[in-house]
Amino acid sequence: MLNDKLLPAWTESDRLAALRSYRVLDTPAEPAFDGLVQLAARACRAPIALISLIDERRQWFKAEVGLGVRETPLDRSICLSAMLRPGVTIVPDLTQDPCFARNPLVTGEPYLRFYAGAVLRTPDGIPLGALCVLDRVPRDLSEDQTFTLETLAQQVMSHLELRRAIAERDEALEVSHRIEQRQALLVRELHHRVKNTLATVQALVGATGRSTGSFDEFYRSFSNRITSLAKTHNLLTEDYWQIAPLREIALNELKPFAESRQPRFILLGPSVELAADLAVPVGMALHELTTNAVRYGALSVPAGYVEVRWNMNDAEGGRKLHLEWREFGGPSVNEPQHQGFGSTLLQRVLPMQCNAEVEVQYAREGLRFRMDAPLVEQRLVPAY
Amino acid sequence: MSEDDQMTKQANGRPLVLLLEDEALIALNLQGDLQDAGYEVAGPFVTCTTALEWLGTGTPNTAILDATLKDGPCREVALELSRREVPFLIYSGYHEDRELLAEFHHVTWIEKPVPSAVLVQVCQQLLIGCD
Repeated sequence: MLNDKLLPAWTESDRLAALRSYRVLDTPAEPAFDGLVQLAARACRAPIALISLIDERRQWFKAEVGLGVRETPLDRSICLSAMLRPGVTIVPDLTQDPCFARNPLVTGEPYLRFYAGAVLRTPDGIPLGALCVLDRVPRDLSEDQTFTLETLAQQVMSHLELRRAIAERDEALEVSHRIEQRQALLVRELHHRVKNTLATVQALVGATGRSTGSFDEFYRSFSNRITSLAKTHNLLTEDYWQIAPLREIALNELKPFAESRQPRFILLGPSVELAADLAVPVGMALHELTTNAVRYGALSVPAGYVEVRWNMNDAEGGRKLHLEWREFGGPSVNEPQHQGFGSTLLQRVLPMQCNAEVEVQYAREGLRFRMDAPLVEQRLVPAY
Repeated sequence: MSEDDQMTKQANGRPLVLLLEDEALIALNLQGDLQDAGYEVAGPFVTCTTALEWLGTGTPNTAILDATLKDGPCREVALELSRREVPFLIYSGYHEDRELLAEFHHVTWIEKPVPSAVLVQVCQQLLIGCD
């Protein structure tokens, strides 16, 4: 039992972690702590008083009177020993104590003789240092003075606790402020995106109306375009950075052909993620290409297939996305008689919207489409 | 306004609308609707820079300006049009744009999304107003 009591319930790394948690080391002097050492010095009628915190390699003084330094190396610390004892440690004559007789502060300036220190202990019982008074002559402490010193040590701890609570609250406020900022950004972006999407849908109604002959045809094309748009937005919204993998955008369109025994499509390219500015138009382009392939091209016959290849090129002013769509094994291709919505999208919308260079080739053996567009690298939301 | 500009305006008798809009799909659709309604369209331009370049060569009868373009707010284009006393409307999906372009409060503002028919109608009113 006795041995259990002597063994500390903490390790030195616990103790140092506890000390750091108060965020007090190397902070400027504060009147509250200065007042407490002055009070300790006066109550004990001692010329020197310190709030000493025992760090890894030094003792650091949050407040001091009469010594004139803010820290000393640990080999000069009397508080280090006092901190490991319960209650108030009193050493009437340091020269007579084998632990301290050789201490340079005893053998030389300022020739310390008397020490009394009360442990600064956390609510968990971990010692951080001591509130101590020192004198240059051997002496003792009265019962009242001992009581005062111990009570003042508790006051020091209360102030340290208060400081820590405020520091923790400030940090929590900072974090929640950052979260709020991100949320505000996202709400604004969402608002923009909703408005933009509605305007896009409205334009899609017009464009689909121009290029379809019957209501049934209009309804089918229009609904499919909306579904495709929604899938791209799903990918964007799911991602923290609000970007969508190109491979997933392509799969949204081509997935129905993944079940077939014979492979109907090949996706070849590195992992690349597109911001909304590029993801939405590219998604729409892949939708129009797929729809066209199903109706007239390689995906309209069992043996046909589509190859989608992409890569990234370092170009002047940033990276560029190179994307190619090629159809094989379909019916022979003829140049279309009139420009439908699909070709408007590929040949006019992509260049305008994404600054893309595009090429559509109605090659006899299969449609070929190629685009080169600068990547939008700007990040919408901050990291935290 | 120079004699040359007058010539541009009167070309083939159809009123000329400058269209500044960076959402390509919306721009192309609006262009189609304006053409169907008997307008000639300058643009669509996706940046203020290209619209200002065009303004170096001609003056439209009216203009439809998206508030924010890829290269920033439409301020310079709006100022140039005001200087030439060309009536125009600003349309925008974002409330913040109004604060951003506070000096154009007296101009007709239309909030996106809006049917093309409404934009065409407002253009017509702007043209009548300036006669």
